Amino acid sequence: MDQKTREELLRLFRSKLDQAMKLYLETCTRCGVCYSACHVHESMPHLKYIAAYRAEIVRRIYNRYFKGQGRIMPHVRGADAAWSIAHLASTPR
Amino acid sequence: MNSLDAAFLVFFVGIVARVVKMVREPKHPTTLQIYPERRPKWPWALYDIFLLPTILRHKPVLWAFLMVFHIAFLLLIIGHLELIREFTVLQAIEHEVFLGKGFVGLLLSIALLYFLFRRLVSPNREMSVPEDYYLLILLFLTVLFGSQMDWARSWYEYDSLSVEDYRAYLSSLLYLRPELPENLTFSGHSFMLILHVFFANLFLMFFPFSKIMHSFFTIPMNTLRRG
Repeated sequence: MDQKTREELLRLFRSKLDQAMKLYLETCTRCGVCYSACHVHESMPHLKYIAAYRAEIVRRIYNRYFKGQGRIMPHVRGADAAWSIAHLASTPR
Repeated sequence: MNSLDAAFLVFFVGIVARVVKMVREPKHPTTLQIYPERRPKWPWALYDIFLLPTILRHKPVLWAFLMVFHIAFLLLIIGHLELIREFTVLQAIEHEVFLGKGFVGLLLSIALLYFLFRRLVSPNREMSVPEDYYLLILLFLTVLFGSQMDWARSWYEYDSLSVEDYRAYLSSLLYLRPELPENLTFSGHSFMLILHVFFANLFLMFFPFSKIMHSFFTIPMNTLRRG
């Protein structure tokens, strides 16, 4: 991915970060209730049907590029953008 | 010794900074309410936050442990208030240093161990990030050393320490100028106090930068959902 596309995508991401988005990205505690609450996941227990998994794809990019922690110690929040890209690529439409 | 207490400073400044920053973010342009409701927004949001009805419906066991955890935590915070200065209302039941005598801390440790093992053996383990484990382990160590301090006092037969010594220490920490009274360091169970304060400080420093900020953020978040 070249530099220009990267910056374009990051700018697009930043434009979506309003209060609601940040609240939802920050407060997920990975508690696991959304696995049982989702009837789709109850019938087909795949990772791709978990709400927290879908949010995590976005959250890892958020943590890596839009938080101070993501630059200094990305390991703590699992701020791995490469993970997100890999999982996006493998999620079928 | 006029040193500055870093942990409490980072804690207070961090929380205030993050809450202010979050409140000042631009609001979402549309409503995030799914169905129009005639129930009043604020009581409903508070009910969601404190009684966790959704979790009760889907995972009652987790709900029970969550309630035990949070209530025990609240009781411990109230108990630590007593270590700052005297509150006559809290002495309604006579006690020496801590009301729970270590049992509230024990309940908290059991709940923490449940959360930790649940996370470790879950079939969806890859959802967890390192932060989740770090927080649980840090909190567990803090609570372990803190709650068993009271029992350790009797094991080492150092009942001579009164609540005044603890008060002098904790209040000095909160005013950000720590001063350690001599009595505390020379008692037999001082290693527990030191380790407790060490892990508690690490936890406090980690607090504003971790997911536990959900304790403050769920309030605006639940009002979003309720219109």
